Amino acid sequence: MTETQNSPAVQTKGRQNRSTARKRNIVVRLRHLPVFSLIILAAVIFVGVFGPYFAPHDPVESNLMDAYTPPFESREYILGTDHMGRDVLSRIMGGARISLIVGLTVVFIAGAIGTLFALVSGFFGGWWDTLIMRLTDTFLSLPYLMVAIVMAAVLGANVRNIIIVLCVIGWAGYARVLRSEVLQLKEADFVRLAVTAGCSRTKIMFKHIFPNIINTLVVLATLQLGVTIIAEASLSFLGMGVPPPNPSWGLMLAQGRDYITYAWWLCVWPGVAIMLTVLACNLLGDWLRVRLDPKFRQI
Amino acid sequence: MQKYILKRIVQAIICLILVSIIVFMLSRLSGDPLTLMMPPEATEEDWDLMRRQLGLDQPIYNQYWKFISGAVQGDFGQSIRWEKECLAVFLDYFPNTLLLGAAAMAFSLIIGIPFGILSAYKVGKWYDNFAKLFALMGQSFPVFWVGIMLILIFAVQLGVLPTSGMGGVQHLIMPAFTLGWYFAAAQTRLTRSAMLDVLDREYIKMARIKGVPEWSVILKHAFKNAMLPVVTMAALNFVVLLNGTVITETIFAWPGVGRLVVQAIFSRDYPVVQTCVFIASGLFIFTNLLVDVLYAYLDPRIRFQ
Amino acid sequence: MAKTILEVKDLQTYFFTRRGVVRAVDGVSFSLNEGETIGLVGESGCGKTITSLSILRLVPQPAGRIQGGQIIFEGEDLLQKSEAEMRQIRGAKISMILQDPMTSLNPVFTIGEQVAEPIRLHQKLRKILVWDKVREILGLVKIPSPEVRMREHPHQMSGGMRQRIVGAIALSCQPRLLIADEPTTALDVTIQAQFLKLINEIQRELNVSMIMITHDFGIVARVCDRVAVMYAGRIVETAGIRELFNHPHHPYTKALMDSLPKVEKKVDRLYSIEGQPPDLRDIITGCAFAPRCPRVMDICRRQYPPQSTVEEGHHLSCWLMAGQGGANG
Repeated sequence: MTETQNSPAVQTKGRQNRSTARKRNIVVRLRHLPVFSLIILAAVIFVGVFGPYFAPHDPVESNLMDAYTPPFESREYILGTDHMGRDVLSRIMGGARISLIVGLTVVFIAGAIGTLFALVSGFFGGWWDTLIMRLTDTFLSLPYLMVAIVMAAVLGANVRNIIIVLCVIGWAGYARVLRSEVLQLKEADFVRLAVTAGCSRTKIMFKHIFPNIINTLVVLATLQLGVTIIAEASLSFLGMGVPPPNPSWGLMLAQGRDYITYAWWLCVWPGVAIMLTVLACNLLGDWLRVRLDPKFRQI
Repeated sequence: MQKYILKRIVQAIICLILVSIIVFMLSRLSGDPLTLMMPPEATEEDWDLMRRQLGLDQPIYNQYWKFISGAVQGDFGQSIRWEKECLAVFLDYFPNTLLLGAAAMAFSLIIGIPFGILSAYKVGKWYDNFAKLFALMGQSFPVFWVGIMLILIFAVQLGVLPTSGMGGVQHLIMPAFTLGWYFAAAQTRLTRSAMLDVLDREYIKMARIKGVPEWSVILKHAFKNAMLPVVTMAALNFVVLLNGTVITETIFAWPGVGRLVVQAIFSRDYPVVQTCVFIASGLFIFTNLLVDVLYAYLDPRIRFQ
Repeated sequence: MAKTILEVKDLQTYFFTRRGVVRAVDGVSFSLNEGETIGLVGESGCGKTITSLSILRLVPQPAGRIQGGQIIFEGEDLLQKSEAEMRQIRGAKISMILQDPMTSLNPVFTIGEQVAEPIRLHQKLRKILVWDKVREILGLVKIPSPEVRMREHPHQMSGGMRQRIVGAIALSCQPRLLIADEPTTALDVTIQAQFLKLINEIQRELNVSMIMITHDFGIVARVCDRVAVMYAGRIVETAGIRELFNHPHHPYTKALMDSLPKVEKKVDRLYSIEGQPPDLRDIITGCAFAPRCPRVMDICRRQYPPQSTVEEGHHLSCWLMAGQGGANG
């Protein structure tokens, strides 16, 4: 009567409990996926990539005979036509492509620059840190949109320049946030262990620290995608962005403004498109932020 | 603490210098700034005259020195379009932006802070979900769309409010709402998270143990502590708001600095553009500095060093 | 005959989380007499803090809920009272001291304001009298120059002084029951003894009954009259301290005491209990300590042992005792 081990019955029960618990976890996780965001974003990406192939009309071809068709009235032009007789739906689909191209490119490049600066600045410290921090602060204190329109006006308005402009203004946000993460990680024990093991500093930076800031980077990038899309639309709205007749959503809004009194739909649909896309980005970003919380650190 | 303040001031000055360099370089990005400023029908002589007038024939560091030394004294050169000093032009329009900004800020605080507090108080209940939805919407709607929609509904369809311009209170409502919308959402979020952070603390538990009624726990014990980050963020947000009036002013034809910049760009008046951007950045740097110093003063750990 | 001031009967407090139901307190019963101090001892996570929060009905919601049982305080069941009634009891009749003095005080209010608050809430005194009372209480907890201290903020004080202020706040309305949740764990060792002595003195002077929550048997020995040992949400043994120290019966109690290094006994290796406390989300059949018990029997795993009595005032729940002394209902 002095058994010190668990009987086999207890052990099996424990194992069963663990596997059912694991299955329970997966189901729980799936149920909490941000379905709305993923659907919207998938739709935008799909339209952005494949849009031109199945858009009902050519987004830039004008057809003055059919101008000012209101939405939902004709089978051919579901969302109506604009002042040049162009199908609004097709233009929106074209705009998705532009927003996506600009958005993803800027997020990728600005994110890369910002991350690199953050790693160098946070990890190496010293003069690097001072220099990069001053640069970051400087770029963050510039009035975002003002500088963007000036740069766009000076360089000329086209897709390539917009991407450049938005990258120049955007990198600083990533750098600041990620730098504080790097600073925290620098003090972590596993970094100290790597140093004592003789790992070179660059190697530590990329192999140990970088993977641990990916979580924050992903959340930031998702949220910044929304911000960038709005920025591109703003620039186009002011006439400094993608040049006509490209169907940028912002440009559509700017053009539609002139006809607001008798063609209200020209302003509504592009705005809805922007709003839904950005909403999806924000929802996804928030969901990721909660899921990737350092307390549960997993991706 | 003195050491900290001094350090921050030096940092701010460095930033300002870097900003001035960037601003200076802005119009020179694509080569000769004169190409941006001259109308197409100008002659060779016009160009030479302009070049000498603006001092563009000088070596670049001379030009920069002239710019920065002038800027420190408030002399930003002459506006090309208006017959005035750039600074004077700026000051003509700035009060309007300030008015709009103040109204928008007031709106965002009045909506944002109570929503945020309410949301933190009853986490998970409908006020919280509503506030969270509001915050989400606020940050997803592009500013120009909000403005246009407002015009569509209230000016075009209902005819209640004027579409543009400055005048009485009715002219201020829609622009202020448009500008403040995003920040109201941001403020809600910030207040909510600051409150939730504080409500987790031990001294809040102590307050409940003492038998303090719940409303006092929230408003007196918690909010007083949450106020610090909320207020400092609000101050910073105000400057960001001021610098972000470009679109709102354009939509509503509000005669402020944002619209000035756009007009100046279109009329190729780059000295004015430089002035506006420089002052806007300067404002931000200054406010940032002020906020940091205030924070240092209130945080006993830094104060008693 | 000592009067019973608190009687907890079969208290159950559960937490309903996304990953399961945590049975933090699963059938806890004990009673406390006037002027007495009972120690609630156990490892981290055994439910001691939740028990005390349940008494004050401050269990974190919405996840936590008191599922069943009774808490009879001064003859009335606290679980039947309304929130407004509870608020009148908190701070006035029942009070609590928390573990960390560095975070227990609100940084933006002065010491005076924080000590005055419960007095203002629960006692109808004129303004000047309130401040007199504050000075009096600060003197009681031996704060030097209370006049000056009253106007200061918490960050201007040391940990030991802050904890005494927390004590002052707790005692300001002369509660009948004081719950101290590991009050000395965050203090320096040298201050710990001082603080305990102070609390003990005040307690006797004001005739306050106390529940001392701790994992440290040394503290138990110093201030408690009786002890209840908790494991996995239940009380496994209760006894007067002399009795418990001299004749511990439950294997868990014995294991806890064996883990304490003793000056007289020289060992090569310190004894530590094998295994881990159970996950409180799982429904435990039988005795929760069974997987780690050196004297486990078959029946221990199948059924929870009934309460048995060793002698007057000494109860425990263990199958080893169930045969002797007869089961108690």
